[in-house]
Amino acid sequence: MDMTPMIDVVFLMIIFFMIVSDMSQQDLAELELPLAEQAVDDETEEGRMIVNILPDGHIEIKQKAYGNLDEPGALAALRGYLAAEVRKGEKDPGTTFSSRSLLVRADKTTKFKEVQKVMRICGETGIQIYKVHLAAAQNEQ
Amino acid sequence: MARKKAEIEEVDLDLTPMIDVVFLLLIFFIVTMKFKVLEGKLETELPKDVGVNSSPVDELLEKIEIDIQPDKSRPHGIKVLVNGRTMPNFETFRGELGRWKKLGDAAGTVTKATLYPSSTINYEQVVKVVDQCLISQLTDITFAGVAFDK
Repeated sequence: MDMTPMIDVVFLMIIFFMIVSDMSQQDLAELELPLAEQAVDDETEEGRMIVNILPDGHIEIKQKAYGNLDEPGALAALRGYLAAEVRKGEKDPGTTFSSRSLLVRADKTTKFKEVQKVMRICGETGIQIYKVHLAAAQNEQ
Repeated sequence: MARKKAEIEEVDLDLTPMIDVVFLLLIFFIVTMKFKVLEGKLETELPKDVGVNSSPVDELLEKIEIDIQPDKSRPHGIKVLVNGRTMPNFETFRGELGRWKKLGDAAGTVTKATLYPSSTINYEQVVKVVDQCLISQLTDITFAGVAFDK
């Protein structure tokens, strides 16, 4: 049996999947984002942090669960993560504010108070991230 | 003695292990792949009025307080109040924001909106309100703080 055409097709399929599967999306939890008319293209910046907030208020960063922010452990873990990331990056010239940005990705059904808790941590001394962007789905053109 | 004829040995290439591996790779990519979703962001920023590098307080500041309360009888399930006045719909809301923005621009002041979402308001409802602010060219938006549950 001549296997050559089958092997050709299978290799082509592998190449296709390797190209279309975007490994950079590993940071993005599966969430249903709300639609926003004014949402701009999300261009990946270097050192940008992503915090995913699930519908039940649980935090997920880089596929790692941090728990709910009402739990003191989760709060400390998120604080520690953000502070460590901020230390790796630069500050805005002449200020103590981090020049790195943070993308908050929350499900459309997540309570906004959970997002506010993340924002509150962002404002704390030693973290001070002010570029906090809200993820939203864009209209299909 | 007759010279032995050189025999041409036929070599069979066993493709089975390669096909196995290739199929495993194919299955891996099919299972793990996610198509790129059309995802964007609202470029909001937190105020820099904490810590030692506080931004100077704008003396001339047009402040708009936007309350977002749950109301299932209204579009998107929310009631929006601008400085205490209930907005019947998003069109009126945008008009009101535009009016404040024009007043601020004419007076040379900064128009700043602070959002006060009720604790039961969800992310989608806030994004809708922020979206309306941005459509009205109101970009200076802050969020009221929230306490951590004990």
